Amino acid sequence: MKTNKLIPLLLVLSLLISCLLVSFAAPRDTDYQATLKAKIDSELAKGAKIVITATRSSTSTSTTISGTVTNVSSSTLTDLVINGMTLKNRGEMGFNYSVLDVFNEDKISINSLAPDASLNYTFTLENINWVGNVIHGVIFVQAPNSTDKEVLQAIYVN
Amino acid sequence: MKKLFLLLFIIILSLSLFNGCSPASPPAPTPSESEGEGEEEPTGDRVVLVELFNTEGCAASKVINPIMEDLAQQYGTDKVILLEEAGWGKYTTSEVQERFDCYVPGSKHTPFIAFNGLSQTFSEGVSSGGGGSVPAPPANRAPTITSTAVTTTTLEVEYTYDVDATDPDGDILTYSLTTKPIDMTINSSSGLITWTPTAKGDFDVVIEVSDGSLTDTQSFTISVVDQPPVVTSTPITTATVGVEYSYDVDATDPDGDDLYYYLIVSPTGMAIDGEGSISWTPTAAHISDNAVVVEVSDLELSVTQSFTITIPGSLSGTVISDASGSAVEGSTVTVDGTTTTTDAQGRFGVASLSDGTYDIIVTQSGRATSKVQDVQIADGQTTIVSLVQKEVNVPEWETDPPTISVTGIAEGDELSGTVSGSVTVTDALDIKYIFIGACYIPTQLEYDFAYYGKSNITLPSLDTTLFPNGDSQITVVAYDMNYNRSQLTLNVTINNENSGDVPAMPTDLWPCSVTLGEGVGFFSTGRNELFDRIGIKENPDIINLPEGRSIDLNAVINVADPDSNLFVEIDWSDVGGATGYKIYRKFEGETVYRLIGSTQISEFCDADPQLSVGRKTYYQVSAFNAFGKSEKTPAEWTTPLPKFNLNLVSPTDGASGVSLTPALQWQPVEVVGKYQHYDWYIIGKNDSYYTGYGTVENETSIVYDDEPLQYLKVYEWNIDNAIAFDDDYGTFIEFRAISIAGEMTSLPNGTGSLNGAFEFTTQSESE
Repeated sequence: MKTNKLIPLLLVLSLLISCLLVSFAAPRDTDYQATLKAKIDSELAKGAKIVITATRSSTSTSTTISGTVTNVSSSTLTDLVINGMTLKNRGEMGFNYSVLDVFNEDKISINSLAPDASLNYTFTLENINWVGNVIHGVIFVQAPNSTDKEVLQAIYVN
Repeated sequence: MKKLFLLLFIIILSLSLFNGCSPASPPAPTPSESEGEGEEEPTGDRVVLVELFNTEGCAASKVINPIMEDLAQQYGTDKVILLEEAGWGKYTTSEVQERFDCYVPGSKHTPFIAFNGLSQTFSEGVSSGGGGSVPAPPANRAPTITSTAVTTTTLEVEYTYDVDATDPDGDILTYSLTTKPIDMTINSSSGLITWTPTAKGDFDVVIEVSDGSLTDTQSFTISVVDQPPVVTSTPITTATVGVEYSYDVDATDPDGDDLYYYLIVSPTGMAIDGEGSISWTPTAAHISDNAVVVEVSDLELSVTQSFTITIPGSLSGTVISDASGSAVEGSTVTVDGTTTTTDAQGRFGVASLSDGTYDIIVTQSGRATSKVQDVQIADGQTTIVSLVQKEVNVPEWETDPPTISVTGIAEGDELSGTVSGSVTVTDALDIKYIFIGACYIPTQLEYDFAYYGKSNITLPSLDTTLFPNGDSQITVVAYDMNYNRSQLTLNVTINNENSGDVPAMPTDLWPCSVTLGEGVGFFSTGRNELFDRIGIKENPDIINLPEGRSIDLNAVINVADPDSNLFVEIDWSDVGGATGYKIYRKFEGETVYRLIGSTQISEFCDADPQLSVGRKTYYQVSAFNAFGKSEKTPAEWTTPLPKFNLNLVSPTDGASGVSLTPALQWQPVEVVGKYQHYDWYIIGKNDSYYTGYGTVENETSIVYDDEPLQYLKVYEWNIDNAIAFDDDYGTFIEFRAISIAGEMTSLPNGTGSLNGAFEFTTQSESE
């Protein structure tokens, strides 16, 4: 009789401990990591409608990044921009891939890109010592006026 | 049954202990999240662009950033590209702000992460943004004290400090003092500290704020000093050229201390003695307004009195060396056959001229001639002009300035609608370029509206409806190849007889002074010379050089002119319906704000040589359109920092036998600002990439522990970027003043140190 009463009490106590731990404990890093990883995987799973190529040539004072943007989907894509950023690896955990510049002034608008159609692009960056200062870059194609401002594709420029 | 209950108990308790610290698991992406708009089957591999907006020092950012960086490394750049963009703080750029605005206009929170735009988001404390899932926030997070302590106070005067703290969970907070001087109290609900000190000295205080379980503390020391002096006299604010001016500054000290008098800001020739008596004999160079700031000190506390002395006269002018250059002293100024000389501040004046129009001609050996045509003297008012007098391009060349004539617009015209005309510039030999603009301001215009190599041009159509009705100016500036310069300003009236809404007053005014060290030249006379010369080199057809004349293309200027190292960048928010903005400035000690420029965008660069280190400078801005001007913004200020120069110390240049983990040490010539940020690097001789690099704040040495150095190899090391920051605004995290020692990324041959880069050779394996 005594034992029979104790077991339901233990059950209630364990449920109470569960609730308290769930309610008051901070999330662990692994939870954040799992959440972030899930979002990346979700994006990777979408596949690509756009393929970007990029070639960089640099002197000690300027850099040119050029390439093509190709619509590899079966539909015409509209209202896109080709944009880019430069970044510097600051070598410290916590704010490592720091953006130096966004090519907002030079971004290229694409009104319409038919299936299999390609568009050449060139960005010329002045007063930048790409190699000497270990600059990195990214070129990306975005639909900035869409509801979700989707970035359709990106490419890393070393 | 008992076994069943026991089994259930063990299962639930196990789940509690091993998984209980996590929030509710993030929901798996829904089909719509995973498939975008669900269109055709995509082909090709997707690369995910992750944009992480954060705030320097934000606790949540410190958690998220390393996790995201670790993930980016795990995936590699062929799958994930991570970009970290500072939402606010010292790494912020206007481009990043624009991009952040694009994603989350209005109220922002960081960290905010966009995965391929807003198709996926992750945002602490933000529940909107494209349907991304939001992890539950941590429960019962600790409060944070956000206010800055008041650390000085005056004897026998009530001290107050209202402690502010925030709690991310909105818990009710309780304030207490765990260390305090006798009689100091704190309101446990509001955090207001009050205390009336009865003795001088230093007193330790520790404040604790609690949400009931977690706490934050703030420790500081209050210095109690005696009471400051009080100035009791009223300044004399008028004077006359050639007549001695005197003013006795009277002051008292409540504590009876001895008082000492100093001139902080004063015109040339003014002096103050130990009793506070100011004496001065103004010259013609002082015609117009002269700012004065007097400091009275008891050697512990001080008080200032600021005033302006006005000297009447017909003409007052300032000669500067370039659009962002220093004052020119010793130039001969000729007006109507009368000559005078510019003083140390580049000022000159003429006391008495009859009403009429006059040419002003400024000459000096080694400098080009500068001329202002048809200056109006009328109604006994003081006409104020500014001239640019550059150094000659080639000393052997002639120094006759060009002559400007304008048709279509004349002095005193009333203009409306679209106006056109023509400008003709004649010169004995050659013309370099012509500038034309409305509302001429030298520091803005000298780089714009240039017409190279032409001597006769048609004015661009001037849409007068963009300007407010009322007085305005149109200015033409012409240079020849030897930098001889002429300027013609036409005073006109804009009258479009229309009416409409005046734009609203701008907000978020943010002046930030930028001081450049000796190694920096990206905004200076040198920089513009360099660009001019590169332009000529790359496109020789821009200017047809006369036979026998050339420019030394190798004389590339990499460093700032020593006296043109300072400017103030002023930003504010855009105003709808405004066609332009007017910028007003006054220096500490002046009573009146003066119009210093106009611009069509919401930023302005003030590079006036009157800016100086330590001189508090105030700004206001108003927006305008064809219907009028808005109210001026409330004033904001900046105080420029001194130059921030530094030298490398060790390993010394040419050192050998250096350890594979060397201590890199450098030394600022003068430590300026509250925060100093240094980027260092080591690179192997002839290597393409840095062996190691990093960033430190408020430290002047590091022990190298990056990629291993090799034995007996030559390496170069340097500080490539070094910036000092002053306080931020408090209401928003932008700094009032910065000073830059070096910025290699902006300058091909830039360096952060005066004596770098240094080379050293590492030790042999047997050492």
